[in-house]
Amino acid sequence: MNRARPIESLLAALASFCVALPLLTLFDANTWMRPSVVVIATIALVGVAVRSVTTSAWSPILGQVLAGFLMVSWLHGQGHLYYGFLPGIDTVRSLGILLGEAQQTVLTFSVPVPTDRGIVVAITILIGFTALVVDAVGVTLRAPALAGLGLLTAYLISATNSGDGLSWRYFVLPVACWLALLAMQGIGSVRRWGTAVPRSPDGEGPDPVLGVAGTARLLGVSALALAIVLPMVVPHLPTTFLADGLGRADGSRGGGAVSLNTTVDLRRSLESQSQAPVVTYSTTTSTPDPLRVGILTEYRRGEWSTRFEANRVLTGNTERLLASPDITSTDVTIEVQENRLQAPQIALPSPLKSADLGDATLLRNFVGGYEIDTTLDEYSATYAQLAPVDADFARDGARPQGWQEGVYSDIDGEGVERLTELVDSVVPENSTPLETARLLQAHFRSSQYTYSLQLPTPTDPVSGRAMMSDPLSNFLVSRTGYCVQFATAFIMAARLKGIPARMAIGFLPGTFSTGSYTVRANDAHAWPELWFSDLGWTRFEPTPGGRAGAAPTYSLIPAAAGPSASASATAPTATPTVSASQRPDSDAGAAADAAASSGGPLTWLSDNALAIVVALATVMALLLLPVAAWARRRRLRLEARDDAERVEADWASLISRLGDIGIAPPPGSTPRQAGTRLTHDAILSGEPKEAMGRIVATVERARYAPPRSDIPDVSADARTVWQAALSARQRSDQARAYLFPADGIRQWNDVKDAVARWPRDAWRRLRRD
Amino acid sequence: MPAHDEVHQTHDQRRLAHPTPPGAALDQVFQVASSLQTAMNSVIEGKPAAVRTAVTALLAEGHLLIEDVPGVGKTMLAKTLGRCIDSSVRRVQFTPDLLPSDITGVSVYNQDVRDFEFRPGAIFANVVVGDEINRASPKTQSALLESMEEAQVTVDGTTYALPRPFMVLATQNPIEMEGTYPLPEAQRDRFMARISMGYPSARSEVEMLDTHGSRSPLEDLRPVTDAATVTQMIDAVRRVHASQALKQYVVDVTQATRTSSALRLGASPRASLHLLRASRAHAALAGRDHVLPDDVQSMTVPVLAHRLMLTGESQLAHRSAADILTDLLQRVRVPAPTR
Repeated sequence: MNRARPIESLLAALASFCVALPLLTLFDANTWMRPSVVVIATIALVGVAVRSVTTSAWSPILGQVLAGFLMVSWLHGQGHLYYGFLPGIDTVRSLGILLGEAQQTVLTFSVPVPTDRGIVVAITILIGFTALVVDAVGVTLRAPALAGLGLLTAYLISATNSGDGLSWRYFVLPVACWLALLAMQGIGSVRRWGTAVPRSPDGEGPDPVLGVAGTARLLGVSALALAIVLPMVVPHLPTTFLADGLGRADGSRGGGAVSLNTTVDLRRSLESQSQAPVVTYSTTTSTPDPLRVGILTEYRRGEWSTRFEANRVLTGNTERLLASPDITSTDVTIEVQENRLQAPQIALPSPLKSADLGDATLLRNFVGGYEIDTTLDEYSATYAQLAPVDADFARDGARPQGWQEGVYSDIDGEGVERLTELVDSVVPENSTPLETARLLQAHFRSSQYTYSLQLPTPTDPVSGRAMMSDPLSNFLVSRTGYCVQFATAFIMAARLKGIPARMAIGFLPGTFSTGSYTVRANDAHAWPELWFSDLGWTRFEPTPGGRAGAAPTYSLIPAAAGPSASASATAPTATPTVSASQRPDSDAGAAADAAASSGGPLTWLSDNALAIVVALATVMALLLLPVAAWARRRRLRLEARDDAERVEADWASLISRLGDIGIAPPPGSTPRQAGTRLTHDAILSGEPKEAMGRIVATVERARYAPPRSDIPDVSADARTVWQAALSARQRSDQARAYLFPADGIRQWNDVKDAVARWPRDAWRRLRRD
Repeated sequence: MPAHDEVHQTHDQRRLAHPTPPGAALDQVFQVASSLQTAMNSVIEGKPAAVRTAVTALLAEGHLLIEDVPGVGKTMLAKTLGRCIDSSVRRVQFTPDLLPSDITGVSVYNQDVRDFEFRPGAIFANVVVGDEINRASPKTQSALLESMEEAQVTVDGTTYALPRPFMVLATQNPIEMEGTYPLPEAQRDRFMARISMGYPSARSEVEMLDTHGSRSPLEDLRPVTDAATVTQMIDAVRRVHASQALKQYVVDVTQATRTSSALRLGASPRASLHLLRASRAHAALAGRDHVLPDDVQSMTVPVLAHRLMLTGESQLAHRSAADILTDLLQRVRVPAPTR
């Protein structure tokens, strides 16, 4: 074999290059590609050249390190080289500075990172190092399986930083190269065994090594297919390992503590799907409300923020209820057992009546948001769960604090035109604030909108080209987004109609298990709060889908078709005919949401569709062999032309089934010997033993007696024997016998043979015709 | 005596497995053969398998070669069989000077009738006991073997048919080979089965000392059947059904001996014929009207072993023909009806 191993070097270089391809998703330009290819090629060529002149393992690696360094210096160290080509201390220093820049870039920008010079140097060095490791380990040291580790590391760096999953193509390419490398060296080493797989002496016939290689290929391809298919079934877990945070200057993760970002950007796709628990609490109600952490009032250029500091100490941690006392309400207490939300943030239900925070001090800001001075592990809070009727929304009362300053009514200019169009089409001219809110919520929760954590790239509806406009307009066009977009659009629409509105951020009530609710980081939610003078700030829920909170009862449009005429007379404007005709699905949408929030069977089905499909497929796969075995036994019995053949079919089935539980007659035994052996091995006694004797006698008669003899049916005896033999075995053996019967495999082989024979038979039939 | 128990156990099983009564002729075969075996077993202590094979050969119209060291009861077995059947029994002691005419008979000039008249030889009997057959000259041996095969004797151009039933029980001593003429393979082939007596067990030997001490038990033995009945039984055995699949199995077994690498010479087509006939008799002895592969298997070693020639390697490995046949039987597939 060629000592230089050029083809293997080529494969290693290709694998190194392919494993770098996912970096395309992390950086905004691919200027790093050309220098990287040059470095990979240099390392591969030097490896081939040095290996061809020496058998030493370390010389090629040393040569590759030197050549790689030289090439990187020439590519990126121009102006810092002695005589224009020799790298020195100065070169190293300049490269160091460039790497420092790269680090800054990575920490500053989120994906995709701008590709500046430092980034190119960093990537070139990284890819060069990968290529060096793969070539050295896989080709020079002849351990291609180990070289896979180097490739895997490089791949994981890209995969973990791309946020969402990489396309499977990025995985297949390097793995294909690596498997080819593995196969080449594997075949080579098997050939060196020499005597184990001799070639046929006349040099003819298939090469025996290829038989081994065929199995290996099958294994390799199966493993690759499995590696691609399996992740589709496994849930996509949050990316919280290996260089986590590269490409995002987000210091909030890690360390176990959680804090909620109080500036909300509408442009960002929601990538954090962290399962980290935030708050665990128990409560006295079965329908807990979301926990509020902050209140955002100002919307500018696609970002929400607040400018109010919490500076007022709330003495006694009790709050005066804004709602008037004659509104029906229930006091609900939540007991937080575990809290990982860092101060000053605290998750509290609203409207808050009182809180037991131990020694900590609760602070209140101008708009009513709460902060705390020290992080608490445990606390409890009481709030009023309001159950207002329609009339409560209509009364006049006090305006919220800050109303005059426009805190709750400022509208950002971006996207206003599109929003106005929408509001005019959804809300009739003379609607009350409650009707407005209800119609808007029903509109956003209708099936026209799609809930998605991934924001679509905005495209121009006319030209179809990518278009960057304000995020609110993008949302109104694409009608795809998550809670932040829905809440923003809802708030802006409410403000357009003159209703004071603000955004609350916090957490959904979480998931209930063993007596308490657990709120996780991915339960983070944003919802609008609208001011109704008699009620205070009232929560609405425009976000559709199972991930959003359930819409409060008062926010749903009441059913219009009442049983009495007076019901429709009292609410003549609640469902205006214009709106009903324009938005025929708004009611249906709200109803569907209600069903979804109560966990109807359809929602459960759709949520677990993949799991159900996998479970069904598993069950079907498990049933493949038993059903085939059953079909075969049935077919043999049905195809029997006389009693003798039927007995033969029963006998063959019995032997096969007993074989499934590990009881087999010796090869070349007569029915009588088989019967004796089976009776002994299956520990048959009493009736089953006699049944076996009758079966054997019948089989002998069927086979060897003169044709006129009468042959009884033995299927009942066969069943007796089978059940007796089965009951004496362990459960695992019984399960195996039922799930993997040999008859089933035979049936599938018959089917396979029939399919393979079909073209020939068909051709023969055709020619005969 | 595990062997003895086994025989009886399988015998009982066979009875159990066949609750339906076989035909009347077969019933007679079963009855008579059973009493025959009982009678013989009372003389030949502890050798039921040898007795059974002897009776099987009788019913299958075959000849029996009894091969063993002196004094284990070879001649006794042969004589007992002859005595149990009420028929003519002749015994010939083979010696080197025995002439063919002593076997076949000779035409002697009769002064009274002034013509040659035929004096039948020792072969003209229902049961012929040939003692130490390997001591006679090949010429004499071949005279015997010819008549065995043909069941007739031709002297001076006249053919004389031998009586029915006709059975030759030949004994030979494999140890004392000095001055003997071992039977050539072709002649061994004429014998349907060969059995070895083997030494009796200690208990059987003690019992033998008891019974044989005063007087020979042979003298007390009364015939349990006669020649005519045996002829009927032989005809009934011929009618035992052998299915096509079973005949195939017989051929498969004999062909396996021809292709086996451990054997220099395999079994002849005549061996196939003998094997099937012996199997029929074996089935009839069990009271069955059809032959099973089990019958073939139990008759394979006695019927085939003496016809085979082992290769040098097998002999060096101290393998016997019986061992090789047992191995072959485990490899030959038992036929099931094919569709």
